[in-house]
Amino acid sequence: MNKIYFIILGAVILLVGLSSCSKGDIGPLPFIGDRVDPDGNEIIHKIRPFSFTNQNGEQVTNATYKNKIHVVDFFFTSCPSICPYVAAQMKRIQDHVADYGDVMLISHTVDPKRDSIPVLREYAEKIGANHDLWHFLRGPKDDVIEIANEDYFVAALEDEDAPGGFDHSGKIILLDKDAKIRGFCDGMDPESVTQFIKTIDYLRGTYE
Amino acid sequence: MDDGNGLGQIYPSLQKSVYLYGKLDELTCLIRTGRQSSHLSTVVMPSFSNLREAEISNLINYLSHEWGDQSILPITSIREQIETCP
Repeated sequence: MNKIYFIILGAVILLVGLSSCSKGDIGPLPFIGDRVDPDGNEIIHKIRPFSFTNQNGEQVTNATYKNKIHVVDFFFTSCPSICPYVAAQMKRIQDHVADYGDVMLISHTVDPKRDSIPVLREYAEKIGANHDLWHFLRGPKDDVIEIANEDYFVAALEDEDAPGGFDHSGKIILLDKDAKIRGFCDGMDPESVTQFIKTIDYLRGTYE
Repeated sequence: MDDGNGLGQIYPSLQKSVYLYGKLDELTCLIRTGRQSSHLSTVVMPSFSNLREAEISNLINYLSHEWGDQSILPITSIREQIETCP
């Protein structure tokens, strides 16, 4: 008898779970990366201070993006594999947030050797980026790879066997105005990005 | 993107591409060696030098079938072209 109750309970939980998924409701967003150290102290995770150069040749730091929601990905212009797909989704996000004023996009190149500022500038122009809204950032390779792996939790590494010489994730990351990670999606999956765009709108709503 | 329309001016559209209407043979070296930066563009097109003849053949004939005039490039032509690639 107990078994039947468990089965019914399981079915109810499953149905409730499924229905909340299918509606695509977005609840309070997590603070991704917050953790407790062995001594029991809570560690608040946020992106470390940085200083890079954008496609306009301007020096930018975390202060540049203060009080902005940021949407971030990692790429390189001569990437033969996933980048075109992810770039198309970043462009879609740019077009959605174009009039917001408090949302910016950042694409970090993992290949500063080939991606000079003029290359980034031309890439940005040809992709249809708004230079004020969408920054393509160049910095020392090791710094970019470190920030990707340790702060954004997206894998990025130089690998001569990978297409184009770099292996990196196609994740797109959402940061709030305090540079804390609040969400991410798979830039290879348009459905995942659709949900992500709703998450951006939800996050904006929490500041109103 | 899946419909072959590319993205902006950075990833050219395959729909109605001139290469797919009468210039199929030029695709072999374009795919193999990509395109380096020039006075026209600093952004490079990556090379796919790892692709074998049969893979290039499949790729070109797929492109032709999907977005071109459905003409076929025989593998013998691809073999000849590869010899001439930079």
